[in-house]
Amino acid sequence: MGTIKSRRAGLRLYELESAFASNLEPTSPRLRSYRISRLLGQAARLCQLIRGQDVIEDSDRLVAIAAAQLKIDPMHFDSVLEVLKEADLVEERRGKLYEKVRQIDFGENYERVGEIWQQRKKDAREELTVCALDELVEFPRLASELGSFSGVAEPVRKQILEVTNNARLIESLSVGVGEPMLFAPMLWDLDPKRVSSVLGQLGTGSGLKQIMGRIQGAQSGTELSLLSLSLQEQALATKAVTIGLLPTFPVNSVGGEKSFTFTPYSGALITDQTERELLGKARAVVSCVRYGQKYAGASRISYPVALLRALLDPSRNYSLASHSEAKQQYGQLVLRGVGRIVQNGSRYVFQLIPSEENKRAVRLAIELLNRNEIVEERNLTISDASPLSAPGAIGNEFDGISMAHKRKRAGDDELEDLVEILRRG
Amino acid sequence: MTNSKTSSRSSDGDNQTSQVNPSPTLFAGEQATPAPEPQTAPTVMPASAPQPGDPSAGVSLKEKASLSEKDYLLKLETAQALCNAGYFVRVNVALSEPPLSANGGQKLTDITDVDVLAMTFATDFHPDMVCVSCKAGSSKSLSPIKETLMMAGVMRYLRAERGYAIFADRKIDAHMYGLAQQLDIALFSLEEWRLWKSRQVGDRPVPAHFTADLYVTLRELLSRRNDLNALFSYTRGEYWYYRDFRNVQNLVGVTRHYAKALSGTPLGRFAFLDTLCLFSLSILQLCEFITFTGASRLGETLPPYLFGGPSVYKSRRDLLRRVEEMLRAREVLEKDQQLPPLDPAYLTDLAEVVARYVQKPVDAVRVPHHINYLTGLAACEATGINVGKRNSGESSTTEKFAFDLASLLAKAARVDKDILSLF
Repeated sequence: MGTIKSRRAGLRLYELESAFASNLEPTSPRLRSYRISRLLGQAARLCQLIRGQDVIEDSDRLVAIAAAQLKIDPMHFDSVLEVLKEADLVEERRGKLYEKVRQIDFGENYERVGEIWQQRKKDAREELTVCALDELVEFPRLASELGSFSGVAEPVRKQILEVTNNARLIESLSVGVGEPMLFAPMLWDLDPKRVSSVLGQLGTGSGLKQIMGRIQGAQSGTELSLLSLSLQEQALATKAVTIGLLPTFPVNSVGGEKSFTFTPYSGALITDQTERELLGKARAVVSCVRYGQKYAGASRISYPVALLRALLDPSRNYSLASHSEAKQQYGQLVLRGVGRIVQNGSRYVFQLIPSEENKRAVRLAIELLNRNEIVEERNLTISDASPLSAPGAIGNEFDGISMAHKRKRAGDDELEDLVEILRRG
Repeated sequence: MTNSKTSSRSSDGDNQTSQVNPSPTLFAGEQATPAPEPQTAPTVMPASAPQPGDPSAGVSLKEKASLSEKDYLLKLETAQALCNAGYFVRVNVALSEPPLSANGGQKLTDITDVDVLAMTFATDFHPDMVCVSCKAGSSKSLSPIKETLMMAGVMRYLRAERGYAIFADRKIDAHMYGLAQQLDIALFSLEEWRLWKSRQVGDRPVPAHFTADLYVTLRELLSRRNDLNALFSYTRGEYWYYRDFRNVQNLVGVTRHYAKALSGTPLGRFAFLDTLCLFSLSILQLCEFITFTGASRLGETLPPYLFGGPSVYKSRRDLLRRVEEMLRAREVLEKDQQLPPLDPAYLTDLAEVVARYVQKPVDAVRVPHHINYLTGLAACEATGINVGKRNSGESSTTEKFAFDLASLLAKAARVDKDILSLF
């Protein structure tokens, strides 16, 4: 059985529970093997529901909302809450629930839930399912290629695939002759049949997997031309873009036409056309911002997330500051109904059409920007650094430490104390 | 406001009533005035709080207290009025130089102090600060003009916008009022002070440690805890000297130093909460910075803030790298060893707290008030004086924010978790 990092385990548990809650009967006998994973998946989903609430005074109301929205059985709600308490994401104080879901690094919530899952004694089938899913969200594979299934008895495999197929968590796709391809629908927001046909055309061993890995490793909305692909890989990537396997959005303004490509993994099961369009809008927003970051002729975007937050701000009338290139740069968003361009003298203002759908698209775009975001190092002037780094003043102090520890490994506490001096100045 | 060189003279002999009359009254021939009753929620008063004129209540302690601090009743009643009106209040804030040398030597004496310091915060976390000077004496050496001018300087130093100077038993010349007003200071005679107090009505309860009985008893108890002296010395004086980015890391460091003394005893809990009050002020100051530099850039701006700005932050990182290289070269560090990162370990937790505060400023700006109230409860616990009410009247979110902050400080300073029992 493969190993899985706790953060990824938490994400997979979230996806597993979302799929099971949507598509399976909660009393199905097959689900008896997924008790721990479902419980922790529910905890991960509840995290998202209560995020930012700070205080929940009416826990009965929370039980009702969790039952209605997340299909968490009220009978098991206390167990879900216990998991969140164990993960230090919720604390009960004087009859109130204090929400402690991490906001800055939301992934840490998944990590904590994933850690608990790893520590708990589980049914082998649920562990296999989570590990197999983790492999499949990277790229479709044949069942025989799955590391998690290696050495697993055929009846167990069949049982897992039956449950996950029914839940639409993992689908089997025919790619012509031979065994079917296993595919996680969350990986692509395309119709599964279309994915099947595309994979049939390109073949799974074509190197597409490597290209996707490179795109996943880069920031969201990356340019294929910046990925240093070989000629053969470039041709394959172009084909994948053409047939819609790699969602790509062109933007054309003063810096010429540039295309921004996204990983096909959406992290959610796209079930209808509206959701697909929403994701498309979010990707288009990211593309326009990326263009402004890299190719704007004047005043490039330094803080893309801050820019998008400004777009959601009613006090700014959902508008960005006027810019001479806004008309072209955000033209695609006008076509998609995300916003409008308002002329302001010789400049243009991009204004969001503040429908709920558009606001959701911008929020999703912020999330896309945050994922794999490369934090830009500022060019700092360090003219006043010399007194601090003067070797004479500091060196003597540490010479003493060096001598004191000549024959002894420096302890962690000692190193911590040392750095504390630097922290407090 | 007390000048270190003149304070004893200005009070000695002026406030003779406290030595003659066993009941702690403010002035000769006058009954002590109880704190104003709030309009809706009653002021928290300990069940055993002395009634004005009650000769049996803690006489010896109060006499002892009055010998060292003549104006304390005036300060406490002023503090109560300001708490009622919704201010966060501290008494006896010292303005002093921190130690000049690393080993704590060459410490200057206190320059002066602010008898009562009151603060409220706008929703952009900007503080509105009030300094109050309380003079109960009638000595001729007590000069309203000198006091006014000194107070103006102190206000400038603390960036306070308003000041009140109370001269309970000293005549104020008519022309002085106008002069003081031009310096944003209101001069109060006893009568005027009473009128001012009657206007400070609000629905906010008063932290119990601003009541006379508790205040005096607590001082007595604290005087026996030598292990906490240096902590209180820091929170009374040095904290106010470095009222900027440094206080976040310094407060954590100081609290960590006294972690053992803080847990396990009610007095330790009081000291922790008192320190937490100041930590909350520093966090609100940080929130103001984040609000003005962009909440969405928090992850980027918070670490440099803790070090005084991007250039210092970068130079410290550079210094750390060089130290690591040097230690490695001298084989203090082995190949598999690394120095801990420059960013303090609690940085992520701090960012989480700040993010929440910035999102809900209306609740966040009341956190110091709530913690101050809890400090009063801890004082009750430490002195054994019962309190009628445990509720500070703050919103649930404020209570939770205060708990978040206490958890952060306890974790960062490695203080035992039982310290959080009052939340």
